Amino acid sequence: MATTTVAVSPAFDARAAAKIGLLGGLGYVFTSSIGMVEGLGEKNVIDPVLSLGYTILIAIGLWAGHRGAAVGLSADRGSVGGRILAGGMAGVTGGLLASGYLIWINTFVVRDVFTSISPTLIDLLNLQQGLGTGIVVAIGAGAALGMAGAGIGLLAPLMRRALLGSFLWVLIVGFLEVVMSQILRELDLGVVLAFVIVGVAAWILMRNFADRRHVLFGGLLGALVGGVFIARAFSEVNLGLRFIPDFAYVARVGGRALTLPAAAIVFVVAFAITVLFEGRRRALRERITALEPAERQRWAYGLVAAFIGVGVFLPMILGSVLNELLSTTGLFLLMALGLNIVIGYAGLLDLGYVAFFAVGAYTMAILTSTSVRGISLELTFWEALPFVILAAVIAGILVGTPVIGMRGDYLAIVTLGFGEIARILFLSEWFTPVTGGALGVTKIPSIELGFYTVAGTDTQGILYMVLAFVAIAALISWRLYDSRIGRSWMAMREDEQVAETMGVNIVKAKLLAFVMGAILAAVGGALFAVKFGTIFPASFSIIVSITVLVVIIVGGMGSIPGVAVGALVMIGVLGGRNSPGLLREFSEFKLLIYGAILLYMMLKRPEGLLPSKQRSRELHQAEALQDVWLRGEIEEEEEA
Amino acid sequence: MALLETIQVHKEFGGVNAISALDFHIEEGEIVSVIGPNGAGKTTFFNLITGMQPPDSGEIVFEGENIVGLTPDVLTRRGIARTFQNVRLFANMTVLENVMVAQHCRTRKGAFSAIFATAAFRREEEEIRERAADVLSFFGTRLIGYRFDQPAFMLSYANRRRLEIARAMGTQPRLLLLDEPTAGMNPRETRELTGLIGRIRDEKGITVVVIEHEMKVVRDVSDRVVVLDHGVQIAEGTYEEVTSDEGVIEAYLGRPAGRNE
Repeated sequence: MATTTVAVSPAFDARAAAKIGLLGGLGYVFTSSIGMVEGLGEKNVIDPVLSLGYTILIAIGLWAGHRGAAVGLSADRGSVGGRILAGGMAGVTGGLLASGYLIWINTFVVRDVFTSISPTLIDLLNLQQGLGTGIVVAIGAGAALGMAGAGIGLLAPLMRRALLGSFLWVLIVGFLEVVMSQILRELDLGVVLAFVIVGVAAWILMRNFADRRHVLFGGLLGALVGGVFIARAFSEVNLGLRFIPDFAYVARVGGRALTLPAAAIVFVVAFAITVLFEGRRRALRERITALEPAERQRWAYGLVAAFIGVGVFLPMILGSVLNELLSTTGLFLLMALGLNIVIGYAGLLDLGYVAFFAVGAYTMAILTSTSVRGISLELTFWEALPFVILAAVIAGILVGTPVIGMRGDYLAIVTLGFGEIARILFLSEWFTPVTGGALGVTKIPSIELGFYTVAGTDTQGILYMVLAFVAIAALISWRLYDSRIGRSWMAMREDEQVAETMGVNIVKAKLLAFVMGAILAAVGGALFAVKFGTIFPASFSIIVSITVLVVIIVGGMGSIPGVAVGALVMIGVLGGRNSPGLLREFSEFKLLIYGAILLYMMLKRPEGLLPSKQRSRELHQAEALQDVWLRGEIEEEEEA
Repeated sequence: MALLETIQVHKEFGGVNAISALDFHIEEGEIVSVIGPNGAGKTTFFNLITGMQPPDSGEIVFEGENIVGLTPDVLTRRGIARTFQNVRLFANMTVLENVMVAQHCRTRKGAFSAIFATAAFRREEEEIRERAADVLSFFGTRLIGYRFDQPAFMLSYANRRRLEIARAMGTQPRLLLLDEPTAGMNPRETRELTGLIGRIRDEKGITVVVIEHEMKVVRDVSDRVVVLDHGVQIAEGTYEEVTSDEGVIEAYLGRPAGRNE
């Protein structure tokens, strides 16, 4: 018996393919049951034809087909027909599971337990027809998507990348509706002129005065100030680009969506760019790696100058919603830069970081507010700021001293406790006369700049303030990294005992790391207090510490650009605890996505999105060693 | 006056005497080898001198001052540096950075001058870099050039040992403690290192204590040899004196058969 079955060699490993199909089917069941498909069903990606909910289901189907074909076939048996068949097999299996699910939710009323499985969802999955259609569509679409997914796997790598990349761009442009509409509508001659003038000035200065720093920086500053005046002078002249968003987006119930022609244009352009610039991208990367260190540094300075330019002129045209969003991102970035010093540089896992944020916010609030009953100092922002920093230094030493001898898990748990202690202290009866207990402190005044008053409600002004402090924090982090202090932190992170025998005073180094981190967080807290005008103990819960930690893990520990990218992705795009991000449609599923991203990063890219060189070395020692070996640099001991 | 002297030093771990009643001394400019079977207390001896572990009793006198109770970083500043038996480099920092860290206690610019990148700070950074490169050039061409920017874990075993010595020398010590510097090296590398230990004393004027198992190295470098067994000093003298000492032979090989008193 056994011998006859062996003779019929299958075209592919049906079991493996089916397993992937089942995974895909589970994805269908899961996203439907938690309400994602329905919740995102109203939001259209491309106006009449494709909703975000369906996009997710289609993506699952394509993924199952692609993986199913890859897993179902060993490399040597990869015939075209076999691949397509394997993909289809995976798709059908997933479709069958989906049908089972459909029958279940159509037959029984499960809403009492699964609150998200609503009649709307059932209609959506049945394509507004009956159960029969739903089943046919689930299996049919499963098969078609599976085969299509397998087909994508057969394409040349460039084509595949261009295809998927272009579709991704359509999605991105769709999601960036708020940003695109806002910028294109508001874009005025002043900002464009200013940006061009500053850019040209920066270019000329860099070329001619690269080694005369005073001329360089003075010139740049002058250009920026001039730029600001020009931007203000011509701010009334709109460039009239309003027609672009009017053409590209259309208002719908679930939010504005990309129109079909606009989607087609984006797709074609992205596709063309990917295909045409394929070779150039690689050439560019090679040119960058081949640059002399001095030359590379000059480019890095140019990049920093560009960022400063964007920071100065962008808030002028972003409008209040986006300015608000960026301010929140900036506040988290400020905290993340501070925590990056504590964890990323010095390797001290501090989970109670929010305590310093709270200390900064409360110090600022109590010293400046007009509503504190016990004391009424009513200082200005600038008078209170030194006290905020002083309070941060004291808090840093208070938290740091008892944990000098601790590392790793123990340190994490103790600092976690400190974070909670801080919140409860501010809430306590004992401090209520000054902190207001659960009612918090209200009436925190605006920031006086002399020529201008930044009120908490002035989103543009607050954004400028936040950006200025972020720039200072980034400068501090960058300077410390490449200094005697930074090296002693890194040595301590690598091996505390050895660092001590090499002359590093561990107590001082640890306290300094805590204090530097505390100062940045406290300044963030002070700005937070001004921005909202009112603070409550509830704003300083443990989840803030965790969010900041997630930001630096996702971005890349120890790397300043990494932390910035992490803050943009996690806070700017996904949204913070109480603030919506760009993807406001997803805000309901924010924590789910947080978890998924964290899991993915831990498994696939533990060093973060933009890691520091050192951190990626640490996590990829084996690969680095292999590379060196292949290049023949461990030539070693044979030379006499 | 001896550069370093231990007076009746005791150290006990859970009832086992790691070091007992040790009287050790080393003069300025000497090279002394400490040998003994495994578990004789050699590494503990180094840990006591460098302040990584406190002695239970006794005095350790460095440059005429009792240093018991001082922390490792203070002792490094005073001029005591060491390497480790199981190489303990800052693996993810570059070769140059490893030696730059070692100058921490010889430099003084803090966070403020770093943040404002003052002229004095930049001058000091430049000095640190130059001195590190200078120390590394002591090892010939092995640790310079493109190696400067290589992370330490990429180095071969022998180069890691060399870098560890370079890092210790980076602290600008007066007394250098080398814990089995030739362990795991092949004969040619061992010969080279033997010469290097001599050069450290002759060219840099650093006094050296070496823990070593390789007897050829002990013979070639030592002015004097101290033998420890079970935490007790059982012999002291020149290489020839020590190697012909019956107590030493007994400690290494056990008593000859039939002489069990």
